[in-house]
Parts: sequence; structure tokens; C-alpha cells
Amino acid sequence: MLDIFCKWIGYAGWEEFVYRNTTVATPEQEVPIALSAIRNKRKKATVIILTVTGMLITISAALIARSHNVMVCLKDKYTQKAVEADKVSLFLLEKGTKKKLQQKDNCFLLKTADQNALVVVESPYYKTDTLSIAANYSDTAEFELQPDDYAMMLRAYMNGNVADWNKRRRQLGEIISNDAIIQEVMFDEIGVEFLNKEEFINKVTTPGSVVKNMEVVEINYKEGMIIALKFIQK
Amino acid sequence: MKTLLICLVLLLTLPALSQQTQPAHVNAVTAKNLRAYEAKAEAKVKEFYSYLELLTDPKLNPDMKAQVRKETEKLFEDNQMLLNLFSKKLAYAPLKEMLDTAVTQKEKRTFTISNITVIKSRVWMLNYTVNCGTYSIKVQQPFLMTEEEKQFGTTTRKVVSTYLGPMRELQ
Repeated sequence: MLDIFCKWIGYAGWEEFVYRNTTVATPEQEVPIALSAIRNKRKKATVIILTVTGMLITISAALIARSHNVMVCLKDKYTQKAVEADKVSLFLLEKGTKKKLQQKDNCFLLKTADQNALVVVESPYYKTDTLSIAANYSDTAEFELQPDDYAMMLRAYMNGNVADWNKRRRQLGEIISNDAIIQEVMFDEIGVEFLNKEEFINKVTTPGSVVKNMEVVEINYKEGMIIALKFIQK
Repeated sequence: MKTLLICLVLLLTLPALSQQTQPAHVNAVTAKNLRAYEAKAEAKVKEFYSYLELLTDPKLNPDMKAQVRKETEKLFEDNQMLLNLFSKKLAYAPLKEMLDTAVTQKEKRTFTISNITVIKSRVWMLNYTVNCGTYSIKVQQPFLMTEEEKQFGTTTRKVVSTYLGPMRELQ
């Protein structure tokens, strides 16, 4: 570093600086001039250090300003209630790597400099999803997750877990209105099968090919209950 | 039979018959509807075999097995005659008898369906190949569309329901 400063003020390096400012200044008249020159050069060095430090601070501040913090909160597509953070894991996709997001107050804290961050949601209870979170999101971004009934039911079936199976049936019974009309649609719009509440619950709690490929495309609510639901088979 | 079997194909293809007088978008919608029901027919067959697989799983809880069985029966309009895929000679048997055999299997069976085609004639026919372990057979099965009244809580609506028909082996 001393070499660099010395070069900047006209010497070949620190050694030349030391040599000229100690050995050359032997005559008595030259001593005050040499001291003054040293002071000037020290001032210059101080200015350089301050400038470089200032630049580093400015660059860091700019980088911090570019990165944004977003609280990613999730809710259940059926119940419209907050998803328990313990039941899901969120990963930021960045430069080919997956970085796990930290939980904070039942949400997840996303810190990124990307203008359009991609976050993958993984869970044994919800279908895997990739969320696209733009930089213009203010503080909180809320997304809906579709419950993965197939995975849940298959697990319950395979483990003979009747309690979990009945629990899911009860949960669905509580969030679906008795008058609900459930439509299986093709190409997002053409209804090819109409199911009532009971038929839908039976279908969803039987881990066959329909529920495996099921993707909910539209839900209508009334007083917190599902009154209409459309799904497709992917 | 209380339900009225309708041939939706006729309804859907009526606009095609009067093609010259219909605007272009009507035919486009009709073609899309046909494709939608064709996809549904294929999905229905796959659903049937996915349930059969579950039924053959000896580890499955009896309550759960009972529900799978009910769901399987709902795919058919009646107790249709099917090829008993669990009998040694692949003999014909009513649906319920076939399911009785399925639930008593000692090991889980896996089915794959290939070469599935839907022939859209007066009655829609599904042709496909069932592969299970050592055998592979070509079968034909009607896909039925029936208009029926269905209860949705306090309201009743007329809807089109779809079912699988009897199965026969294709030579």
C-alpha cells in the first residue's frame, strides 16, 4: 500500500521515498524543505485513503439499495388461512443454487438483489410451486398454495393412517359448502364432469389418477366456504 | 333405466352437419368440446386402473379399500360385464365380481395402459391395451355420456355425467 501511495506522489516506491527523505536531506538548509514536502505528501496520502474509503462506502450502499427484502407469506388455497410455516420450505433459486429462506413470524424473509426472484416452495402437504417475486413488491408478498391431497392421501393409505384420512375428510367437509358445485374442466373452460360436495370429498380422498393430476384453477367463496371449484387434470 | 342415455356426439356434431349456415366460431367450439370429452374418456380409463391397483394392495386398510371400491363402481353406470383381469383365463365377469377378486389379491398389481384411442361414432368407443405383469390384452369399452339430475345441496341441476361401459377383448 505504501508503495502505491509513493508511486502516486512521484516516487518509484517506498524505498525511494525513504531514501530521498532521509539520506538526501543532509545539508542543514534542506531540512525544513524536506519536512514540508513530507507533510504535503502525507496530506495527499490521507486524501487518497479517504477518497477510496468513500468510494467503497458508496458502492456498498448502492448494492444494499438494489437488494430488497420481502416477507413471503403463504395461504391455503382451500381454507384461505395462513399456511403454517413449519409445513413448507422455501428456497431462493440463484445462479443455479438453492438457498433456504429463513422463517419469520409465520412468513419467510427473502433478501435478494434480483429484479425477479424465483422461489421454490416444497412441502409434503402442498403441491410444489415456483413463485416469481418481482422487485417492486413492497414489504410483503402473499401467495396461495394448493394442498397436495394426493400426497397426503397416498401417505395415509400406505401407512394405513385412518386418523389422518378421516381428519382430511373432516377438514374438507368444513370448508366446502353443502351447495357447492365442483366442475372438472378441460382446457380451463369446458366442464366435463360435475360433482357435488360428497362426491368431490370422496374423489379427493382416494389417491387415484384424478387426484394425482388434479390442479385447481378457480375457487369461489361465500362467507368463508367454497361454493364453486374448478379443476383440471394435467 | 332411469337415466336417459344420450349420444352427445350427435348434439355436438349437429352444428357440423349444418356447417354452411353456421358461423365459423360455432364449429371451433364444437371441435374443442369433442377434444375435451375425448380427453375425459381417456382419463376415465386411467382412473379405473389406478383404483384397481389400490384395490389389489393387500396392505390397504379395509375402510380405505371400501371407499376405493365405491369410487371404482361409480365409474360405471351399472354392474357391467368386464374381463376379469385377475382370473387365470381372463373370463368375463360382472364388475362387482371382478372387484371381489381384486380385493383378495395377495400382492399389489400394476397396470399400464397403452395405445389408447377414442372412436367417436354414435356411441364412443375406447380401444386400448392393458399391460399387467406377463399379459397384454387389447380391449374395447364404450364411453357413455348421460344427462341426469344431480343434487347439489338444496338445488338440483341437470348435468352430463360420464361412465365406462362393458369391456370386451379385441382379437
